Formats: sequence, structure tokens, C-alpha cells
Amino acid sequence: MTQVSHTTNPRVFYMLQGRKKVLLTQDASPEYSVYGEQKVEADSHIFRTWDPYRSKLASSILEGLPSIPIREEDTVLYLGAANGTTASHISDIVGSSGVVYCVEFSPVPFGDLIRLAEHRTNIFPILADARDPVQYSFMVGGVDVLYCDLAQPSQCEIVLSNAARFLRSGGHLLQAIKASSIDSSLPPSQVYETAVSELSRGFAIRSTIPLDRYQKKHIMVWGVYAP
Amino acid sequence: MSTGYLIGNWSRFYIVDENNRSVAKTEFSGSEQECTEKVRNLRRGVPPPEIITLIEEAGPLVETLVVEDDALARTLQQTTGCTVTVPASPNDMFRRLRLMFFKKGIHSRHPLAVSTAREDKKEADTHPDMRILRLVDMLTMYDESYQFYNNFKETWYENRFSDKESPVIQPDLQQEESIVRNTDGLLEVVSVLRKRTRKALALVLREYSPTLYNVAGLEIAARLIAEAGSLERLATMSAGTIQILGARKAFFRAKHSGSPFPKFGIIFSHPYIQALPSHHRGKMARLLSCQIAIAARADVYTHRDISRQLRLKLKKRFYQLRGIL
Repeated sequence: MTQVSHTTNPRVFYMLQGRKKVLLTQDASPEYSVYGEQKVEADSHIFRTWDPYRSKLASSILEGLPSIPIREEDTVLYLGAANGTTASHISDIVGSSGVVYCVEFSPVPFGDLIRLAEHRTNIFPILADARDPVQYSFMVGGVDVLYCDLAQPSQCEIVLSNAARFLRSGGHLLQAIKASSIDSSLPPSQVYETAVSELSRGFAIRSTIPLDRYQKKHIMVWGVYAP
Repeated sequence: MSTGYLIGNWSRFYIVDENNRSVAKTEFSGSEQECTEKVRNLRRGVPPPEIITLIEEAGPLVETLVVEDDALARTLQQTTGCTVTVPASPNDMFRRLRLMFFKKGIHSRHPLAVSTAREDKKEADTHPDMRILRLVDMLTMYDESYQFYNNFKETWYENRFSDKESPVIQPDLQQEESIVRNTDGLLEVVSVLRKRTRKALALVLREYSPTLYNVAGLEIAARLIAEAGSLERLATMSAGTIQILGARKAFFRAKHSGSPFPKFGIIFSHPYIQALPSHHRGKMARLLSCQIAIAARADVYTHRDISRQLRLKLKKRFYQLRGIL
């Protein structure tokens, strides 16, 4: 029998495989596998393993994100949802009364996102450009958490403009920053510094977690919205 | 008389006054399909009849209406005659209203959201940019598989006939031999499919970007659009970027290590560059990329085929470099 215990967040679980910690979330659609992840049964619940090499949120949790600010029943705006790998785990965390608005610009991965939404009623796929939040202004409500994983040089600006429209004061920001998508010729630390200082115009930065062990030249920024 | 804010979630819309009180509300009627169409039209700035009646209903109570979308504001002002404004920067009022009015009943909008997403994807998939992207992917795949199989076949027969005498009959290789012979038809199929893909590409390009097609040629035009992501993106790129489009690896190597910068990317296979000695190719590439940039802009913004002038310029320079002029 596998021993499953929860992390600092009551909706995110882990089990031990030898000395390795494997993250889990409680599966909201047991009959459907999103990206070939493993399923684990324990305490009469079904859990899905959460791969840190594929999800920057999972890797930041394993790298010591002090707390996971997404809770049950939260509303999350996810910019750059791509195939919905991370989005599916966030949908597990917020549960059936939470909502995840997934904004994605590219029509190719968006097909996967639609398939995911067919199996999960809390995922709202939106095909739109995150640079222009007016496009989806009547599709996205006020949100508790803004999760951003964009490969855009102007991603901080995009985050601030989206927060100004949708994020509640005191709401949380989780932003994965890839150094080379902002500027590949500068050293990563310098890129992070400018990005964080730009973000601090609207957010109180709680912590920055380097993710190099799983994703090279990435950090995760956690901030609280204080307009 | 006061200011009203138009706020909505998918299919339910409210007009809210300054004191956060809802003045009027409406819900889209009709089947799911009709609602989807209404939502998608609203995104393009075309309000459905429900919104117009909503504004008329609230008319006596609201002097100016505030909406977030410029295009919607314009059409609403025209159709209802009401004063409609758009806040210059993201408005805190809207953010607060969204928190108050949105979440209620959001889960019942899920089917509408999914069907809207499906329609959006369908539209995006039939866009010429996407079609070109897919066809270019196919072309690359056919090229690669043709080369791979051709190479394989050649080396196979080379090994078997290397002594120029009768083939060595090795009984333990007979099975492989027959497989190789039987898959010969594959090469034919691939080359036929490749030709058909090129034809399909030509059809799309002639309609969608005639100037670019005539200046750069079929494959270069298609690959440039695919690499840029869309014709519109290509049209906003500088000629210098277009010149090295497709030479990403060489470009970043140069940027990081100080090796020489690439002079051409996708445009390298253009006949005007191919036919020149290497010390003239950079010059031709510069002019060619300039003409391609102009051609893409003509296709996106003026919709005028100016390929004759552009090609004339290219031809002149080419002959100059060849030493004929």
C-alpha cells in the first residue's frame, strides 16, 4: 500500500519512492490520462503523479516554494496554458467548484486544451493573445491566482496588464520566467533582476525559486498583488 | 443620470452603476450554437440584439456607458446613440465589478466556453497561415523521408555490389533484401505526395500573398511565412531579420561566441543567390530580403501585387553582380 501524505497545501500530495519525493494531485477525471502520467491508488482515492520535468509549478514546489498559494475553490487565470499539462494539475487542486481560465494563443496545442476541457468542467479554454486582455475581458472573471508561463520578452508587462483587469488585491502571482526568452545575450541573473524589479511595480515579491535542476535558466516568481 | 459600466460573463451581461448596483441585466437566448456565435461576434465588436436592448432598457438611468473594448464602444455608439467611452488604462472599477458579478453560475457557462473554443480553433485552423504552416511541415517531412530512404537504399545496394561482380547471395540477408525491394514503391509515393503538397501550397500562396510568392518563389515564401508564424508577423519584420530567418542556430552561435554572423537563412536556396559566387551572395541576400520585406507588406497592407517592380530590381542587381550588365 502506497503511503500518500499532503504537503503544506492540503490539495497537493506526495509519496516517497526510495528517497525521491513524487508529487501527486487528486485525479478529477480518473478515466482520462492527460499526458501519459502515472496513476496511483491510495486511501480509496486516485492520484496522478506530477512530473517536475514537464511542469514548472511542480519543479518549483520540489525546489522549495514556501507555500503553494492555490487553494480549493480558487479561481485561476493561466496565461500560456499550452497543452494543459500544468493546467490539469491546477484543475485538480482547485477542485470542481474552482475555475481555471486557460489562455493560449497557438491553435496547435489548443486542440489538446479543448480535449482536456471536455473531461474537466472547471477548465475554460480561451484562444486569445495574452497581450490583449480586452479580447477576453468578458470571458474571464475576477481571479485569486494569476499563473503565467509565457515565452515573451514583454511578459512582465503582460502580467501587469492582466493583473490590473482580473486579479483581486491580495491575489497571488506565480510566474515562470525563462531567461532566454527575455534576453539570451545577458546573463540570466541580470534578466531575473530586471524582471523582478519590473514586477514589483504591482506586486510584493514573496520569493524567487531557481528551477535549474529541472528546467535550465528558469525561475519561478511568487508575488502578492498590491496595486 | 449617472455612469454605467457594461460587464458580462460569457452569456450574461449587466449594466452596473457607480454604487455597484446592477441597473439592468440580460442573458443571451437561443441554442448553444447561436449563443456561441453571439459570443464570438461580441469579441469582434459586433453586439448581439440582447446587449442593445439592455442598453435601451438602462437608457433613462445611464448617461454615459463605459465599456472595455474600443471596437465595441464604436459600434454601440453608432447603433444606440448612447455616449460610450473606454477607460484609457485598465480600470479598477471593472476589476472590482468582475470580482462581484462573475463567479455566480460560472460553471453553467462551461459548455458555451468549450463550444466557443472549438469554433475559434476551427477558424484558426482554416486560416491561410495555419494551412501554410501545416503544408510546410508536410513538405519537410516528405523531403526528409525521401532522403532517408534513398540513402538507405543506395548504401544497401552499394554494400551488396561493391565488387562490381554478380551480387553476393547471402542467404541470411534474403529477407532484408526482399523488404528493401518491396518498399521501392515508397519513394514514388513520397515524390507524388510532395508534388501534390507543392501544388496545394501554390494555390494558397497565389491567393493569400501573390507578391511574396512571385518575388521569393514557392518554397521560400512558404517557409518564410511558417518560420515567422504568420504573414502579418513577416510583414512587421525588418529586412535584416528576414535575411537570416531560419538561421537561428548560426545567429545565436555568432551572438554568444563571436563567430561571423550568418548572411542568409531560408533565402539561401533562391536561384539568384545560388547562381552567384560566394563573395557576391551576401550582397544579393541583402537586396533580396529587402524586396521580400516590401512584398510581404504589400500583401498585408495594400493588397496590391507589385512583384513586377520588385523583381525587376532584383534582376538588375543580379546581372550587375554576375558582370553581365
